[in-house]
Amino acid sequence: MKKIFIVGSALMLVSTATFASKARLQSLGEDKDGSYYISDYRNVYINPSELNTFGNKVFLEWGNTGKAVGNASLDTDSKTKAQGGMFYALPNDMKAGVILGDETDVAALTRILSSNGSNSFMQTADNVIDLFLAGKGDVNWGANLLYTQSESEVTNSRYKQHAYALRAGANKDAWNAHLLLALGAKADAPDLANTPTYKGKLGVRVGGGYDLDESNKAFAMYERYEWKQDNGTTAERIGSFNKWFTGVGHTKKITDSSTFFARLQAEMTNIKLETSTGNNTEAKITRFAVPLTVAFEHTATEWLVLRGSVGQNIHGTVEDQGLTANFGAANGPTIRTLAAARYGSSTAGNGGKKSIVNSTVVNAGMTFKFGNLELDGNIGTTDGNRAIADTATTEAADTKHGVLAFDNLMTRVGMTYNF
Amino acid sequence: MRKNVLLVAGLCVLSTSAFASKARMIALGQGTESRVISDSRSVFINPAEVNNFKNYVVTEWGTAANTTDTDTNPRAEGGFFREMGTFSYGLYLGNNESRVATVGATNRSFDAKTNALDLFFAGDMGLKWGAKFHYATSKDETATGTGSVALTQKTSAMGLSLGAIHGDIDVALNMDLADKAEGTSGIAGVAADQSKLKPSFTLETGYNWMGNKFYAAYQADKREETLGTTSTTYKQSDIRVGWGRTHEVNPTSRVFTDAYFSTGSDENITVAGKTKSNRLPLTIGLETEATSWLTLRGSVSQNVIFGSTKNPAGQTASTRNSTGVNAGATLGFGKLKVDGVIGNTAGQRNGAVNNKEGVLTTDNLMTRVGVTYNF
Repeated sequence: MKKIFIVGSALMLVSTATFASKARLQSLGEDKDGSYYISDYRNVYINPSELNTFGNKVFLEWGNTGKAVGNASLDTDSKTKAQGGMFYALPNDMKAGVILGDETDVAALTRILSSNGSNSFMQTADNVIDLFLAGKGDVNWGANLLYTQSESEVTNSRYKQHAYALRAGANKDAWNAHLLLALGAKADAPDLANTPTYKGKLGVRVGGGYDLDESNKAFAMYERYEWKQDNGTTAERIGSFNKWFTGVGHTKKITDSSTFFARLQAEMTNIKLETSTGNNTEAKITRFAVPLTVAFEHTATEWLVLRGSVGQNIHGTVEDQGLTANFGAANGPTIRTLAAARYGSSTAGNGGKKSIVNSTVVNAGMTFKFGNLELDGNIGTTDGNRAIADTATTEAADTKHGVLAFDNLMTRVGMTYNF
Repeated sequence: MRKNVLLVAGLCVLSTSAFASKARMIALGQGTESRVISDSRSVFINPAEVNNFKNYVVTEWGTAANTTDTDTNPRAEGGFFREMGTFSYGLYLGNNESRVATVGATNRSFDAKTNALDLFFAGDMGLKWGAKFHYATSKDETATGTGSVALTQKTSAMGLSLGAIHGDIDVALNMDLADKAEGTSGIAGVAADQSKLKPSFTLETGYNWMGNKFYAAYQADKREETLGTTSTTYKQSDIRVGWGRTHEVNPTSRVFTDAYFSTGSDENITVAGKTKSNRLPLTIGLETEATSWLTLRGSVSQNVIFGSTKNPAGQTASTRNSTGVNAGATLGFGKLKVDGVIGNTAGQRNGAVNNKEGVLTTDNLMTRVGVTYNF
């Protein structure tokens, strides 16, 4: 009998369970910090018990320090923050993980909001460490501890910040549940104008999901964070961030190499800032939306996977009030611009209620597969014009104008090695 | 007769000894040399490593400028290493690294070290040993100083490194015997100005145990700077204790983890001001042969628990934004390897383009390119 051994060039088909990056989730129309129905390593930030799903891996998200906003910084699509980590199997069906540098935007935005000084902002969470531990059993469980702390005593540059949080999750058969407790966060910057301080109260996020059948999954989430902020010249203020959503996600394997995704959910976000003695100078944003997202992922060749999504609000309204009155000429424009980009609120005028405009979003991405190594990224995110320079708030070359660029081949690149 | 036909699509297993560039080390989060990852750059830490890395030529692309070697402005250098029976030798050009200042004051600059030459010699007699002699000199009689008066600028440097490897233990001593710059040029330049490194050294040792590498290193140097009638003495020291592990997943892929604790001080003895620093970076890296002609690698590194600087006034500041992700690639063409760092170019091409912004560019395909030919 002839035995023919064929040793290929180490390229092989890999199941979707190995995909793992912010770019992949964004390309599929999901939040870069995790999906409630599409499997990805980022989901450990929602439910740490998901760690049991993944094998050993090292993952990197290319980038640097993100988009600078004073001393604060945000992880934006065109200026990404560097982060990475590793998951590793332990004896007795347990898994451990460490992730370095994951700095969430919600935490950063609340500190930016607290920095109502002279166009400078407090230090956001820095040098974050996430430790994970998970195990299998009758009920699969997982836990994650987040820690960040930094300070400076240097004259004219003094600041302090720290934050701790604990996530826990479980899953069994068709259901899963998770809990996040933001145990404490504090920041101050005595050398910034108006000496801002920020003190987070106990924050909580609870949620879960249930597999209705092999294709459909229902999910829900509620989170609430409160904080106190003091800007020196104004009375102490209480800030709150409330969000809930519920929805259904649909995953359908069309062929062995193609998968169709769809998600419909209802979501409400409520952000409020009020004085501790009354609400005469209250600022708030209330946003309600029903987004529908349709996505696909296709293994085009044995070394290339392509994906894309389109999403739009079936219904969406945002109401804001007191933004102009509470955020003056100094920091106000930057804060209102950031809020508008994220929530659709107004950047000028006296506020009111309006439809969320321009909610149609198309994303695309791809993965190069080299055996156990995957290189993910977003595509179509580079403008045709390379000559426009950065500004304080935008990176003009890095915008979606329907261009497939070959020089900036991928953005928000993630690198994953499974072993 | 059974015929087993083995069809290989050009797969070529590369041993780590074939890798030899700054780009590889940077992509794996090690700086330009590593104490825990096997790479020919280790010859600059312990010359006894020449016994392990020989028979190759290497070039590091860059400019001929003699000042600091950075990712965006790398220095041109290169050399070759060859075996000769039980001995090995090597010659390396352009390693102009120096701790002597180049800027004395405003409009008053020393010449930088230039045209450095490193000669290596090593032998294996059961005990592997090695030595490196470093030499550089230059002179410029066309320089001008205050009032456009002609003056002579000189630089000279000499160093000696010794190392040994015996079984699981290695030890190395790197000494700067002399490193001096004389005369400053510029509209405030003075012929008598001098910046001089006193004999300085780095002493280190390492131990391999069950797949783990443990090491300790102590570095101390002293520099005197004379500008006119003012002399200032600077003292610098650093103690580092570290660990690293290479997990060979398979013959073509590996995962690296390492961490070290470093505590150091930088002191202006004359003005009595000391800056102290400490850090504990954790690094996780990966390297895999993606195809027969392409190797990809990357790493993430961040300070954990320790990472701060205390200034002469006693004020402490945490090291901000210590999270760093690096990536690199090697294009392999048989015995010729082209290494580089990838992901170092921004999205826009106007203004500062040499930024890591999470972009994979194919026009600036690789930066810090190094080319190695193994023979």
